[in-house]
Amino acid sequence: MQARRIFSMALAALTLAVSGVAFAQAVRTPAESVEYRHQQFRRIGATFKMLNEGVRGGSPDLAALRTNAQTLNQLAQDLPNWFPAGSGAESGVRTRATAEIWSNSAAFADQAAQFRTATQALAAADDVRVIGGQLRAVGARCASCHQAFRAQE
Amino acid sequence: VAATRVWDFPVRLVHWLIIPLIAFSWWTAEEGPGLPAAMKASLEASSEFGFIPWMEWHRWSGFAILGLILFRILWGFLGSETARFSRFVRGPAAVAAYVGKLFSKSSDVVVGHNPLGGWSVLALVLLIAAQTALGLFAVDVDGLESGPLAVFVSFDQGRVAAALHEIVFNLLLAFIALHVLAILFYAVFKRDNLIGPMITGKRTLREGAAPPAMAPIALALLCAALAAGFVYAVLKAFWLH
Repeated sequence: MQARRIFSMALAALTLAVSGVAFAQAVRTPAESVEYRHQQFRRIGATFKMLNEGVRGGSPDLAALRTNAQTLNQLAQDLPNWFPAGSGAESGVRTRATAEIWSNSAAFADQAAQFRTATQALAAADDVRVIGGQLRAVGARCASCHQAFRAQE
Repeated sequence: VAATRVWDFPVRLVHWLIIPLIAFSWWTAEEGPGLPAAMKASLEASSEFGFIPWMEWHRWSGFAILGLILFRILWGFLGSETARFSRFVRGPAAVAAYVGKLFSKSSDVVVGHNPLGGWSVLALVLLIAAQTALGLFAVDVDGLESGPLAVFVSFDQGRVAAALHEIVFNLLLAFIALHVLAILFYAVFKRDNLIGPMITGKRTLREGAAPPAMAPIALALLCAALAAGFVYAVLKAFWLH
């Protein structure tokens, strides 16, 4: 468990290191930026799924829940870096990220900040019930931002 | 000539319950198209965090369909004569013979499913069963919502299940359209009303035709209990707290 935690923290640090705004803007093509963004959101989805199942199961594993909560929080802290300018649909790459993310960046930043606040509370929780409740609050932040800044399929 | 019972009550009940449930499942999956703005606002106001629990409703609708289709499959082996797969799923010769006289206006009244329609019914039953099974494993794009058995698959596998859930739904829609068009064809071209008997269960057969054997209602209750019990056991084990 200790090794796993160290590994997941190292992984998160690595993720942070390679996904800095400057790097993303300077090096990545729009297609690469979108691909990376999708990959990161899939990680959020996979992590959220594990958390959901963790609080639902008959004998919840608190340590695993906390590790996943921390992973989710780290991803949330990093999220603003996944939207470099020029990685919207205008680049010609298939993406549901709407133009308002960049044209109304203050509102987008506010959504991202609310998401971070919610995941921080999730990562700080050390009780299965609290994690379960906070998970719903985090999910509501996901849905709220997707309603505002993700195009319908 | 007196009308004869051709469709038993369980067959008709499953048929008419599954239609609104499929419609409701589609509607909740699409997050309520056509819902008046005022009603939507009041639903949002009464929902946790202001989000209408579409997927929660979708799941319950799916669980109900799962129970009905499991019952119908059991009933296809144990039920009344006209409900049984062994009776209405016919070989290629019977189908070919039926298709040969499909466009004659004076064909005999068939008791139960005709050889061509039998295959259509089997396709509908199998598609509905596949659709509910896929739904059990499906995961939404955000990992926020999932079927009760998604715990056994990865996020990516759950996304594949969700993609197949959408494809099978479109296939199901195509077969439903075919089913409705066929009934219209019988009503208009052959002047044969198939909807009435599916409501009343009764149809006027030609003189001397043997009435199909009806299974006892107690057996239907037993099958229903088995199907409902199975769905409940799955939910109890993997979903309900």
